[in-house]
Amino acid sequence: MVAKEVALVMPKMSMTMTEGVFVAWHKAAGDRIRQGDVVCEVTTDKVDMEVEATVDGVLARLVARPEDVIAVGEPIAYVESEADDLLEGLFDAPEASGPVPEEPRAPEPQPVRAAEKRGVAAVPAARRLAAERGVDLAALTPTGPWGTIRVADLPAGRLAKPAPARGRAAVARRMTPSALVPQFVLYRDVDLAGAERARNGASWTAVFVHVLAAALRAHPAFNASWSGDTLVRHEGVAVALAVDTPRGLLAPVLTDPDLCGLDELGSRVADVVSRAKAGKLGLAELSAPATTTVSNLGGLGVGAFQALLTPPQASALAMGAVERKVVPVPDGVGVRLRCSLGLTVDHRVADGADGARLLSTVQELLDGGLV
Amino acid sequence: MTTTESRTLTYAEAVREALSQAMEADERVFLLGEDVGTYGGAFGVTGDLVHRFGEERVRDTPISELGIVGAAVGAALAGMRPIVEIQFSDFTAQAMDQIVNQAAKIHFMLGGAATVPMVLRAPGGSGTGAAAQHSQSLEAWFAHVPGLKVVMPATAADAKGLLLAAIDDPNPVIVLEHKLLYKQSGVVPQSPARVRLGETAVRRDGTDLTIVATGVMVSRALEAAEQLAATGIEAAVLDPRTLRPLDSKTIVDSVTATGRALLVQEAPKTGGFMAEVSAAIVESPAFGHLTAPVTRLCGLDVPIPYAPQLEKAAVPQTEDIVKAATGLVNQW
Repeated sequence: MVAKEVALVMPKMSMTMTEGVFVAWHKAAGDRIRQGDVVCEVTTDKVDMEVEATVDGVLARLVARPEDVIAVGEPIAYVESEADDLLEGLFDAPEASGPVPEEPRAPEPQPVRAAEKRGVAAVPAARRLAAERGVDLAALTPTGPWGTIRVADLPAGRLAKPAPARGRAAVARRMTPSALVPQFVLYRDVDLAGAERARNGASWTAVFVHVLAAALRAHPAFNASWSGDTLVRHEGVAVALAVDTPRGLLAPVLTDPDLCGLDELGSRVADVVSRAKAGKLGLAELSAPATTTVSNLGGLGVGAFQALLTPPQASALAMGAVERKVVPVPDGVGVRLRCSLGLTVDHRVADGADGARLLSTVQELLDGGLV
Repeated sequence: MTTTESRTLTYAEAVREALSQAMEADERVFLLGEDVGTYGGAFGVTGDLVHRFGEERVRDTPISELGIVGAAVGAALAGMRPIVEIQFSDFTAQAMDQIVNQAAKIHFMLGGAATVPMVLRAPGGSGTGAAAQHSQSLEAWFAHVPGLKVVMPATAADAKGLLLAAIDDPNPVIVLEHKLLYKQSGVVPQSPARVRLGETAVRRDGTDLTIVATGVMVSRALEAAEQLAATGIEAAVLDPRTLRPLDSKTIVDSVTATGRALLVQEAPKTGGFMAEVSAAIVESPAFGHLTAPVTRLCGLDVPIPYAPQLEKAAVPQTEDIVKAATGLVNQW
């Protein structure tokens, strides 16, 4: 069996993924690998993912380098493999008896983007410092001989700045379009006396995921997105839950969280939060389309805040601290368990009064609608 | 006699002192070569040693380099400690079979059962108007051969200390002295102190670039470093002293700190020893610290000319080193 080079390509890990950023090699050139071995790590716009070998063989050539942006389907590396290709020859023309006309060779897949990056001439120290500081060499103007980037061509700053956490870039990419959405925020303190009796140990986060989903189902106009110049309504409700993790902000998606009991939802929320912090979320959980987001900073002592919309979602709920507050009650003042909510709304989808009605539904659900 | 004193000796006197101390210390040590006896050596290095140690131990030989080295290899195998002088290192070409095919390999071919503890001293380099057949720098020839050690002392103290270490060594060592250095003086310890083989000397500290130089180029690099310092460029000057085995770690450490390497040799560039030093740097962790290409400044790829102006132009001079170093620092 003759060894041949098989390309290991950037996988398409979600419907919306068109390119990935190469993160790190887990194997070195020359390493023997088996199908299923983790070869490298790439990051999509949502999460870091491990890329597995698709064939047995020897990792012959590494094409991608850290920070390379590689289109889906473009090679990351080439594997020298003797593995049988069951499709090999299947689509070839039937063997002719006479002399076979020479077929033009299929062009080798070209690692276009990676090659462009590799074309940047820079002294080794400049490469090292650029990597440390998270500077894109290709964006610099070379002033050295032969058009080579010198150390002096790097942005000033002797102190090596730590490279931004990988999660930051993902957050930046996802949240920048938010600035194009006309959005307003409604604040309302909700009373949690009823919910406190009913929640049966479930976390407040789970409670609000549940009631927000149920409220959206009751106000289907909110469970929509503005697309182009029309309103697109969504069938199901899916709540993205913002989770603070060591690798940055992640937002695993809980689909139809109001259709199961609060006990079960409590377990689901606890599970995704712990797996998010451990970096064990599946891609599907992160890339499922969400129709709204819940963000809870109450545990960090925040009283109330404004969450930004994550386009194309039309709403986002910001939870402040759940705490006992002195509030007016009939005939005087009293102490009640309360929480300040901030509801952010895409003004193209709904108006302020619609948002106010949604919050009223939330309060009603808290008062007695919990399952 | 105290043994800790130092005095100023010429490089030639330092070599002679090493020879005499070795001969006094060990009866197996003897000298052989053309005119090493009564004449005192082609460059006067052996001087009066024949009168002090007799013709048995300071042996004049016929004009036959192959025979001289062959005799030394045989004597070494028989347990003696021969020290051969070849008048000009160029003439080692005549003795190459004995050096490369016999001396270097016998220890290995006999499974370690025999050793060839001989030393071959030979002056190399240009600058004396001795022209193409008497002025070459052939260190790369010998450094390429497994089984040979190669040293190039650049100072009077090293001329003595490295030679004593070479005489102690159980394997063949080629000592390439430099004709221009013979009359240069330096402080030399009176004691028979050895300079260990395989240790690069840091002749000068610096932060902006590392100049690695061998032989007579060491003193030129030091002169250049002084001139560079006046312009604000601090150059470290390193002298490998032993080409094989090469102490590349000291070089790598220095280049890691400075980020720039200027490698200076008198020999022609192509296939020269500094190519080896260059490779040692870029194959090391120093690579990631390079702020400039590793740069060689070498002799021209020409036979050394006879005309003094051309001879001078054919090998790096102090001003050439200054110019190359300045470019390396300012361009990068």
